[in-house]
Amino acid sequence: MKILQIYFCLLLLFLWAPLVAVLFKGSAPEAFVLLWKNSELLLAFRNSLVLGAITAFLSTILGLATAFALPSFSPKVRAWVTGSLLLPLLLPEIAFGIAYLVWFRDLGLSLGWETLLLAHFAFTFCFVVLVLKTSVARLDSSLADAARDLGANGLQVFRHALLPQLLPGILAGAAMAFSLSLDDFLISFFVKGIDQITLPIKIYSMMRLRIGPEIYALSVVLFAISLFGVLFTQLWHAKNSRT
Amino acid sequence: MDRRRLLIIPYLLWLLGLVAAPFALIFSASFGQKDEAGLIQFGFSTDAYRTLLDPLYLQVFARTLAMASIHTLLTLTAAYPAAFFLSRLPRKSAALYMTFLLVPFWTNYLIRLLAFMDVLRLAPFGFEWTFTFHGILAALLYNYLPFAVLPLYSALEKVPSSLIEAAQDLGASRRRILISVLWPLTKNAVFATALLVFIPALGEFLIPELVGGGRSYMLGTFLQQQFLTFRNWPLGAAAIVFLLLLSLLALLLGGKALAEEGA
Repeated sequence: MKILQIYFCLLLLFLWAPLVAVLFKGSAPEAFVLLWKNSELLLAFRNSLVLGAITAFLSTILGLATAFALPSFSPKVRAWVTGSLLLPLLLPEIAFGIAYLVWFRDLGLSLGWETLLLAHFAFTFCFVVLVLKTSVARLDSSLADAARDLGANGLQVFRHALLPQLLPGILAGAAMAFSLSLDDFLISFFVKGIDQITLPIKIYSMMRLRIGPEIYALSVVLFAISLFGVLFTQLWHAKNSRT
Repeated sequence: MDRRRLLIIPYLLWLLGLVAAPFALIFSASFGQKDEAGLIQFGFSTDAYRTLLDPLYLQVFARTLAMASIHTLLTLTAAYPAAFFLSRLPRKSAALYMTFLLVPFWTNYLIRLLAFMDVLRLAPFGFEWTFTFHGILAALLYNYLPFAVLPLYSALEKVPSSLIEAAQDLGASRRRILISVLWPLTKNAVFATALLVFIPALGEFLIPELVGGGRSYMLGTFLQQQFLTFRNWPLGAAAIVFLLLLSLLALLLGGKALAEEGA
């Protein structure tokens, strides 16, 4: 057990050392000044945030609809649907990126933000449905029945009896879609036009040409955002499980 | 009919428009021919497949397969003891250690890669590891390790400690415990995890491209060039069909294990 513990700590060192080095380099004030001046990098960051937000919104709404429909089908149909939703997770990402490139061109769509959004929707939708599927399955239907008995219409039942129960799942699904979209390089690389620069695309081109200190400062910012996001969800969960 | 069923429409549109149709098109494009504008002339020609059988291209496939296979072995070997260590801890401390394992993965994939390449560039092992095959393997290990530890942990966690203690009491060596107790109980999880790290590695683009610096010419780079640079789409499409067949073959071989793990 002792040996295993030492081994595990060495693995942690292997995983942490590169990141700590980057965060250390990025914490220099000069790096932040350079980041602030690098308008292209900031624009790419903003583009990715906007694209991620719209993707998350779209995937969550349509994913919720699908998750709601699923229980009304037979177990066999549901198993097929779940299986097909796993395909984008199991097959190589590059195949999807290229298939979309060829398909969008064949449809006569010009490559741009619309095709990026479609592609991002495609690979986030399946994750969102898989997350929301379990939330819907766990729904307490007696609440909806009670609301209906009290004369609530369909919308009111959804809003007051179902939505509060689904909210954790919806937020988890949306957060997942957002971070997947923000992180995606490969599919975006194939379906973007010339002018659409997302953050991963920008970092890639910087890695090929010239890496400046500003990229390390940006790493610090991104890491702080995810740290904050994770802490926030943990606290929120802790608060919800207590009440 | 239940009106609720109509809500399945977004899924059907997704399935048809964003999964079935694009891949059907790739399949038919692989039987087409390249036209002057660099687009596809659909038809029924096996030229693209015949070109792929050229030793030059077969070599790319063989190299990619070798990379993905060695990487899978390495990553599983590195992840298994780590997962076993976690599985013997009380739940709370296992969760803490797991968090430490995952935190580096909260940051952007490209930044993680950049961070790792900085380490490779420092040549910590006494020689230059960027632009080499083992550099690629190290980067793959770095990026896939936690994803391999998680499923292995959930399988190993189900093995009761009493079983291992019983084997110890009966005088089994560590190796014997691994072979006769742990392996039979976790081999499905190992196969399922192998798929999860093997298939994505087949289509890996960034790591061979950036860490390998184009010197290790892999399938990902080949595909990118056929579609974005040389614009030989039928040849690229045939290579994708090949890649998908390889992935599906792997899924068929390990699919049962995966389904059992998922259940």
